[in-house]
Amino acid sequence: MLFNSIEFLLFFPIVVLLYYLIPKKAGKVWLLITSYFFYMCWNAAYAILILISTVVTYGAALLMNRTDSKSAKKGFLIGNLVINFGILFFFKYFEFFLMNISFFVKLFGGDAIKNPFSLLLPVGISFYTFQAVGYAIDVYRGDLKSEKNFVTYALFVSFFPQLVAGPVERAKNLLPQIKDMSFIRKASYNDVVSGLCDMVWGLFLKMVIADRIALFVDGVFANTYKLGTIETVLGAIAFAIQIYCDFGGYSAIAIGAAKVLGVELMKNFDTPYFAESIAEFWHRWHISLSTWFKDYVYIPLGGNRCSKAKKYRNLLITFLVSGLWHGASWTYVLWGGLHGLYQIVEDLLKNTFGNIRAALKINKDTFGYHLAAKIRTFLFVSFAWIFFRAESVSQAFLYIRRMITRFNPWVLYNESLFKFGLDRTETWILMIAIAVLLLVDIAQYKTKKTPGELLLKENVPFRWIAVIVLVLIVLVYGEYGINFDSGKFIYFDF
Amino acid sequence: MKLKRLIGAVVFSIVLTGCILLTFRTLSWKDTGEDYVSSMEQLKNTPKNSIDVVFLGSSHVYCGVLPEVLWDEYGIASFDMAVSGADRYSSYYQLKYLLKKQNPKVVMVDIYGLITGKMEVEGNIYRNLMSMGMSKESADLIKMDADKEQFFDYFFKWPVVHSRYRELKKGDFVKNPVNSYMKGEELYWKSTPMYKEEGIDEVTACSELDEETVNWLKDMQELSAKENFRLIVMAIPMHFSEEDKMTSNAISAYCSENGISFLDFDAYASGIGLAFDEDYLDEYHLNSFGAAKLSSFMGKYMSVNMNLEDHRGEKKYADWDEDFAWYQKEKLFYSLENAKDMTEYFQILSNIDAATCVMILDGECEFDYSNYEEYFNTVGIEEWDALEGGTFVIKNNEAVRTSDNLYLEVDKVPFHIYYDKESEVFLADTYDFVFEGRQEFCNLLVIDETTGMTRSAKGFYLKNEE
Repeated sequence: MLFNSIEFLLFFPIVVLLYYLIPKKAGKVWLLITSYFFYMCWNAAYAILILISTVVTYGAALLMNRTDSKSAKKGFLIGNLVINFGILFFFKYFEFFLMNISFFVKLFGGDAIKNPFSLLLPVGISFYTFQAVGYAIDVYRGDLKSEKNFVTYALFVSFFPQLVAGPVERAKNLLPQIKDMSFIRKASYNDVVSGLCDMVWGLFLKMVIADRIALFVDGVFANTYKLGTIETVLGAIAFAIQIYCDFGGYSAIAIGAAKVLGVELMKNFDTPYFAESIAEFWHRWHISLSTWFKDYVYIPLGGNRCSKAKKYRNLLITFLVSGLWHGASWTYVLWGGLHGLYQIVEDLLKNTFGNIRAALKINKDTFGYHLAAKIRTFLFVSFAWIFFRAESVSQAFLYIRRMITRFNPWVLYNESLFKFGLDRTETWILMIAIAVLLLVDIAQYKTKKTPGELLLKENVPFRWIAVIVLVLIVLVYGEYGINFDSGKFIYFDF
Repeated sequence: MKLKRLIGAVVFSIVLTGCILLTFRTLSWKDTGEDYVSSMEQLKNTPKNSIDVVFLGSSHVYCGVLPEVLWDEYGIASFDMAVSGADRYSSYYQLKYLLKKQNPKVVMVDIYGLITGKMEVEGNIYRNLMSMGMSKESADLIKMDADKEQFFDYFFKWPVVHSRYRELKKGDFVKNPVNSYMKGEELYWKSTPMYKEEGIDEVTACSELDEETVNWLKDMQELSAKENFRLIVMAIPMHFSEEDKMTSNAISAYCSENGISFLDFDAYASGIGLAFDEDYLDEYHLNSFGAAKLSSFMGKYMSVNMNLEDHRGEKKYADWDEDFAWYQKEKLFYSLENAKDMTEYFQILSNIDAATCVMILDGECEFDYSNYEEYFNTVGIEEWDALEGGTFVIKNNEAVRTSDNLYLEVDKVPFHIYYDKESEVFLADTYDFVFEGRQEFCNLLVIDETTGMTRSAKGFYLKNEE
């Protein structure tokens, strides 16, 4: 069940209405049932995987809490990690693993190893596995007590707004809120209103911008071999916008939906394309995952409280793993590696750039300086997205080759850009929508508030008009229905 | 505070719903034929329990049967429940939908939907699956004709029609007035010479009826018993191939075995008086001349074989009168387009009610006034006035000189002219009609005041008229 589907349009109001109508004590059970139903709409059988992950981490955490023996605790944690990551590996990476083994086997004259299993990737497996594993590590470290109530814990793992594509919640944030559900309804009138506004904004990002610009991106990436600089540069920038609106849109809907139910999920995006460095970008992009990697990979590796060489090693490992988390393909690994590399270079050149700035008497506190820094970061990030979007490493390199070897500015004037899935009308709609996004992002950047929270501060007539116009824009200009088959959110595959 | 918020939420929901409904009305799929002429919309506007005879089928029916003729000649209140490309299931559920508000005594169903299979043309799928209101019949038809995963898309309609923002026309914002009185027919005056396959009338062999057809006929028969109407299966004249004829024969045989009347109008074509060179629109459809002959023949048959009431003069049936008046006017517009010369043009024009003519006379051209004296005198244009040239608006046989801003100074200057019914003004440069006025011509533009549409644009070369 997609957030932008008629099914969800029916499902969500029913869930919310009944949640507020039934006794508080039954609220958790109701949300647990509906969360499993939500997941089972994709593939009923795969709900068993969430259940296994839930039971294993629940049991391991209880056992860790009961014992004082450090080695026993470690044993429970390792056992838990092996089972959870084992499932993740089997369903997500096994084929990739065999493919690479086969490559080497073939190199030495052997036959390729065929995958005896034909498995669909369970939707959201990386998200709920990481969420559950994070909880277990917190309990192991003693940062958190194990949850005794199975329903509470099961809902923590499967809470439907964030089940299939995050935010990857921390137990410290989400578990207490779920526990409280039995006693209080936390959602205020303002929470419900701003949550609903955030959901509409998310649908606007996904359906009006992401799915529309995807038509152009798909056209460019499908025709890489015959394109030149302008199309490929625009294609890369377009994909940067697509993935932001796709995933940012999903997160806005998820956070908004949770808010309507009285649950405050962690922020996942904080105007990432306004970052002035790659390091800052990762403080603003997919925050729940990047902080997860920081807490459970980077810092355990030593973080930055060590030698520079080790720090860079830690950084690179973290980003390579993060790349692999996104997908079982070398393109993702390269994408992650590139981001790691960017940050290492950024750190290495920090002093040099500082000296150059001082020598040239460049004032950092100017609009122009900040704008240039933002554009530079955006371009580097967009370049890295090429690896993320490409079907293969070779396609990514071909794309880059076309980008730098075929300068063709005339395509800006001969209408050929309208042949990649978006004609003049659609391009205008897209441009206006992106302008709206830019305005809202500037407001978010300045105020640190979500669109829903921003609207709450406005007078009622403005708020009403804004919401009604937005709803109508989504309903009319959104990409959905017959003849349209994009549908899925990109991050569901991770 | 709580109450205030509750009221606010309710008011907001009402405003939002209103805006959504208004947007949907604009975006909704409106046409079941061309130019948003919609038989479903017409059905909605037809008084309850007023239809006595329903003609069921696809374009064969709305091209081939004219309820206006049945009304004019016999006072029979009939309706073409026909949607372009309707297959058997569409027809069945559209009839059920009609039966919710109407109580016809006779339903005559064309066999073309039984000869062809499921709908394939995208536009026809939309027309049939989305023209009914949200109802059980609509849901049943969608289940029958569309893919399972597309059910909600077609049922709620919005997921399909929302992308119509790319093709919106004037008719999406302003209702087409003809839908308030038309009775499902469409008028086509064009002729295409037709021929009948040699020996086709002698084909007596029957093909084997498939299970779907048999079940469909059974369902129709059951419906006729339940709803108490007489079911007649008919074959509207068209170009039948041998295979079509064999299917038609099989349906005929099934009908006679099961007590259903079957009327093969194609076999009676010559008896009806249909001329192959002038009464067919194309291979599959009659034109309106042919339709008038067939309808007249049907009317005669009904008056003899069925006990149908003559409703002429009844207040409840006023829109059948209106429909007939519209039909008459359409015939005149057609004649106007085909007028040989300006004299004939003016003669026809003087017979058309509720039409406005814009006449632009070239003042530089010295033409012979006496050729048109009779008409100009009728509308009040004197010789000096005509020879001076200029723009005249002729309405109710009265000409009024109007602004000269449409006076043609350059040869072959294309311009738009448009009569806006609401404001009763002529507008230039609109999208719906291009009129190419020329020098040394009498340029004539006729606007139908009922629809506000330009209906005729002609230019007569003044100097050669003598």
